Amino acid sequence: MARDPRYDILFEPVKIGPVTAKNRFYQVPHCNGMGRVYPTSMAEMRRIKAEGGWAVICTEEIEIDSSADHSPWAGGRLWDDSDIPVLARMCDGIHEFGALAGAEINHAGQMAANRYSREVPLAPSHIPVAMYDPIQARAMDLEDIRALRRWHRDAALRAKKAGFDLVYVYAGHQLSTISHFLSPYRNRRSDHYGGSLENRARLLREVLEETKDAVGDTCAVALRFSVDELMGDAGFTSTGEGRDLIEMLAELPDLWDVNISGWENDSATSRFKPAGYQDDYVSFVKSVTSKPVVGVGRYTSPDAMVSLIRNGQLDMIGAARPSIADPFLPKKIEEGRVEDIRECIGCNICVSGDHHSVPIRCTQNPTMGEEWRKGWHPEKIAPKSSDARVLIVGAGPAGLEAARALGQRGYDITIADKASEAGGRVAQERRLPGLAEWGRVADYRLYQISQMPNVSLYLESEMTPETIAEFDADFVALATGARWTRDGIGRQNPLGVETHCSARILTPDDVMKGAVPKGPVVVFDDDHFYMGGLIAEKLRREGCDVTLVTPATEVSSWTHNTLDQHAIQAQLMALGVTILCAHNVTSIHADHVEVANIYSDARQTIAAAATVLVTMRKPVDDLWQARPDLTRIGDALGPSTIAAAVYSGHNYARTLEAGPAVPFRREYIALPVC
Amino acid sequence: MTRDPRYDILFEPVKIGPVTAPNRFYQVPHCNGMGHQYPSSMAAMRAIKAEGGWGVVNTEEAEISHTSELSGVIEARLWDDSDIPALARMVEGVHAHGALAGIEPAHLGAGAANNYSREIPMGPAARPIDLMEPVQARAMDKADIKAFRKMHVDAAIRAKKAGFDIVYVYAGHDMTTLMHFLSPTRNDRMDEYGGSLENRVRLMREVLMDTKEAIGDTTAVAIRLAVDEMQGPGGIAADGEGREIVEMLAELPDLWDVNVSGWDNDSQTSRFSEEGFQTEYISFVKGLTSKPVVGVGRFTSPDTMVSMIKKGVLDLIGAARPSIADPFLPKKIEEGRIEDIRECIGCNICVTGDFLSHPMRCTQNPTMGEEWRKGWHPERIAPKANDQSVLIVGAGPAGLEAARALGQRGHAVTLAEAGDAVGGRLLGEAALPGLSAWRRVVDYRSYQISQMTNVNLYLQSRLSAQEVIDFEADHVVIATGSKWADTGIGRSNRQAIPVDPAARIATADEVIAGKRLEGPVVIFDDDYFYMAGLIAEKLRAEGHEVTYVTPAADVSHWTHNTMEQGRIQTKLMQMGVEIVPLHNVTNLGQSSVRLACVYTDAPRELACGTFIPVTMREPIDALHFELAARADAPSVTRIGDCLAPGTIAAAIYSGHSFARAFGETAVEGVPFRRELPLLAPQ
Repeated sequence: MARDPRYDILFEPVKIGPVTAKNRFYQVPHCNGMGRVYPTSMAEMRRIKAEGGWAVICTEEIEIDSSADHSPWAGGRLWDDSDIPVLARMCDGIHEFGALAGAEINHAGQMAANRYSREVPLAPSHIPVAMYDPIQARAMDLEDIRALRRWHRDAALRAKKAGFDLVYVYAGHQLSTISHFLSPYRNRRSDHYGGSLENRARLLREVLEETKDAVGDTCAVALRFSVDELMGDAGFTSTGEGRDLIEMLAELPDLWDVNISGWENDSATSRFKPAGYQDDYVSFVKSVTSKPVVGVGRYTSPDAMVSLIRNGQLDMIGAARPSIADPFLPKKIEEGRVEDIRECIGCNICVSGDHHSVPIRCTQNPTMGEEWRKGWHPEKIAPKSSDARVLIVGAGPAGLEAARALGQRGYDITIADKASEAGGRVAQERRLPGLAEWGRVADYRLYQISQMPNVSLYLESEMTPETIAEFDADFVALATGARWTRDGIGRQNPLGVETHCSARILTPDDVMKGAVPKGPVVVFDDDHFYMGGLIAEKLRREGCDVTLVTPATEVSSWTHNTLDQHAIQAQLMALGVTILCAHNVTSIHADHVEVANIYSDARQTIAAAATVLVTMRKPVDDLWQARPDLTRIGDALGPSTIAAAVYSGHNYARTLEAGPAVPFRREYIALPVC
Repeated sequence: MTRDPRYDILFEPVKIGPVTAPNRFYQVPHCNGMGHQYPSSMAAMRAIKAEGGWGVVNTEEAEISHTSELSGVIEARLWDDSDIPALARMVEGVHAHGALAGIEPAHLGAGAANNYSREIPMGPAARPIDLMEPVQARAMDKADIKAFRKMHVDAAIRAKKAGFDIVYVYAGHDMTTLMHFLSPTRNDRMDEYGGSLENRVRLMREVLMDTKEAIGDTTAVAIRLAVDEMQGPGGIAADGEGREIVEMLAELPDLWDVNVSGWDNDSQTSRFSEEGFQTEYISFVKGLTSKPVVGVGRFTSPDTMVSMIKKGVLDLIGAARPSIADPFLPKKIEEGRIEDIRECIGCNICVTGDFLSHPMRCTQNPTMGEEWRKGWHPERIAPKANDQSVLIVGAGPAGLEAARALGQRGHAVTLAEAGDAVGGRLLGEAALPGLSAWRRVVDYRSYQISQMTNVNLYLQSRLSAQEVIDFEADHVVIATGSKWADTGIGRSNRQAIPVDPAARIATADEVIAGKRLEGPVVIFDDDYFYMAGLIAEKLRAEGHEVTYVTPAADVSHWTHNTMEQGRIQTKLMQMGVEIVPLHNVTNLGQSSVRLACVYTDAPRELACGTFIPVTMREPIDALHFELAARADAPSVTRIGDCLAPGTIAAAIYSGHSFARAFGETAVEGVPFRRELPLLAPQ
């Protein structure tokens, strides 16, 4: 199909200093958990984005010196020339498709604990490092500042050698020494690098000028800057110093990449922020500079993108998460296939990969991080090996993805679900407060399947061992999902929780189906991801008097890894949910629960007419019990995230009749000759 | 010197199945944060222990399959043959010094999230995994058990190929699938692998027999078993199932490596346990088996070691931390130099390296993890590169270590200390509840210096800039340490906390020095390591009413990495310290402090007689800047807390680094050898 002319504007080239981007799709720098630790994986992931039509593809943060070492986080590194080959590999892949490669070189200062290098971290003023490590950064003297400028220059030259077209100066996310100098909150200096904004911006200006001097003849120099820190008067605001700074340096960089900080604000989840949530903060920038401006806001709609350009807010559409969920987003718009876009759901599972120092995962895109090690392409898949018929039982995330991918391979697929609505757990969870966008997991797949004549979906079709046998498919996958349990077994109580027979026990499944207990409710969260907090929120919004009890020391503690823990706990407190951390539930009675402090074992009683146990899920595997020869996928095999279920379904589809499952190619550390 | 004959028994060889250990010094498996990510570093570290006289040197846990992996935590890997070269490198280094090399293959089951491999973890039962990841393990079926046994056999064969002399079967620390099958709380199976102890032991017995059959002809097969989980009757206990398991399998392995679990119990810090703290749990084992028994207990005293052997508790002296603090511990006993042993202080800084996925560090041994990348040897150092004299101002950890190492290099060193005694911050800190073993940092160094004719120590010698200049040393080192700030500036407050002039503030230094305080006391912990918790403990023990406020969710938050957090918070609660987590201090009034909830900003007011901010430290660097401003001053270097306040380990490292680099050509660029990733061929 041909491109809708409405979207032509998105495909105009944009001049960025000495280089030209072929269109307006710009993958801003983003972490990916691969970097220097899984370099071949990283390079291939970026190459595939170039193939998918992005005009500019940037790295993650790249450390420029061992005095700011993020180990063990798997970012980029340009400490010396020995790091060039890894990044050159990435550039080569990007250039294959005519895209530009950008490098976000950075000195992280007090944001790096230097756990590997053991050097003393550096900062504008003496201060403990941002992590809890018992390490203090020392105040930089003028010689240190000169060294920092030299490291930037050396790294820019190395980036150029590696083949980059665009080199960043990074003053965003409160993640760089340059941004720490800018901050009136962090910079307590009394010399000409502290005090007035002019002084605090001095280092930034120097580095910018020197970077231009070093590589500006052939490379564009971009400035990434957070115009608002969402700290009110204590930090930068887009109506105060954020604007002043852009006015000050307006024409100096070749490109402005603007956002809000910290990272949890820049990459807010869909639970808390809709697409375009940064527009109000960054829209002034274009009026202050003639240089191209790129901004982000989890944009997935081409119409929204067009209006950002036409309204004069942005010149280039920045994207990190949307490019992870769909590396082929530009190509699909170009080819007039906007319905095929796999839209980011804003869940931030990707971020958790970076936090854990493993390759990022994506709920929507099961091939993310697998491009090299498994050879998985987000859009291409091997054709079927036979005319086999496949029956998939269950149309949740795993079943739908298996059906979609096997359908793409050309197999004859029947997918049956006993419910009247497809989606499985996603059909339920998308109705929880804030999770509407998660429905895209089902919507994308249902649309794709609807276009495939070889895939038939049957709802309200409960399968039994007999009907499965009758159907006589060549392959059967059981994607029957999982249910929350009501015995309390979980991490804290491996043998379960003692429950009085008159106690009312509910599970998240009951609450999602609409159960609203009368009287006070205790939600016991021994799961630690989003569910416990969301059940508390839903019941509270429905008027219940809710106490959330958890053995963790915070609410939804694993959501630190999706950057929304703070927002979740603040929201529950604002709604009036009573929170009792560091407590286990020891017994449940008709009108109360007994809890014990995890440290002191001190006991208390909490009134409860009902208790919602959020502890673990049990696979729904009755069919498998009857037919253990059939293959289970997704939660029916091992309950986990939606991302894991989609991956499981995809993996099933990739490996069906493809011989023994290839685990994956590995990345090693070189062993020098003795 | 020669060995004291009392210690001869420690140097007897011990037969372990088909192999023989040259002596009784046995480095048990221990994590090190290097593993498969820093393989050359790991191999060099192990080789140096063999050089130092350990008869057996083991790996860390080695993942046997991608179906059970701990990324980004860094352990060893034996997923397939491509992992052999890195481990063979270690074996060669260990064998070069006549020691045996052992490996601990492990399948972590519900202890691993498989965040890299994306495989579903598996275990005896379908349960959430131990980590707080949104991942559940699936219950292993018969095919899984068969595959699991094969993984162990394959790993054992690979280990043999790599050259290992001892291969473990690992059921310890509540960490492995084998241990999870043993556990009555984790194993709820109804088949022949669940229920009775006989059934729960079945898998371990099978793996043990499979391993012996596969490689037992040339390689010893060891069991590592936690005989007590310290959970009382709910878990495996030394007087219950722990004993029964040993009885059941008594003669099957070639060696018993026994301990208590979980890891936080096995590797307790000196703050909470004494040397030999495991003895009462494990002493029964030798009575039940004729096979050699190894056990641990942070042993650093050769006399204690001898008594463990003579009393029939152990055959081999197991050590992880003591071998990290002093890789040459056996050699020093052998050479009759026991005063030279650098004794482990039991601080668990080493453990933090593993938790945070970087090469481990040691407070006592600054060369740990630096053996390969910097070429640092724990006992040897290059002779001096010039004849310069050095004046060191300040005899805290950094100054003492710099003096010791410069002295070892042969420099003329003068160490000037303002106070009555050496030790710096350690003088005060080692007097805090539970930290007396930390004195060893000072004792080791002051003894070494006392033996050096080229190092002179002067106490009660506070020096002015002029006096430093008049001393006419060729080079001056400022190691004057740091002091706790009284401003409240730190992670949560980048600017000073507003204070009423009538408010009473005391710093941690003043509390340690014994300042009399007006109650009630409010301690503000924006530091997160041990100090604020200890100040609370000390003041509560002295009878004060104490409230501990922190923006973190729990007390002494960073001590999760030293595995002490649970013990610390429990102790403070039991002592009656009031704990207010998740609050920042926004304002200090005359007799109250104002707090704000970190989530909602909701204010809260606490009565406060004395406010103790534990937020950051300020370098004591006035002397440095005075000298730096004088044209007639010699060259000056700051080291340790005076340069940047950090851990004691960091101060020792700083002093040591200075001594190593002094007079040498400055390194351009990255100051150590790197372990670089291999790019796959295109």
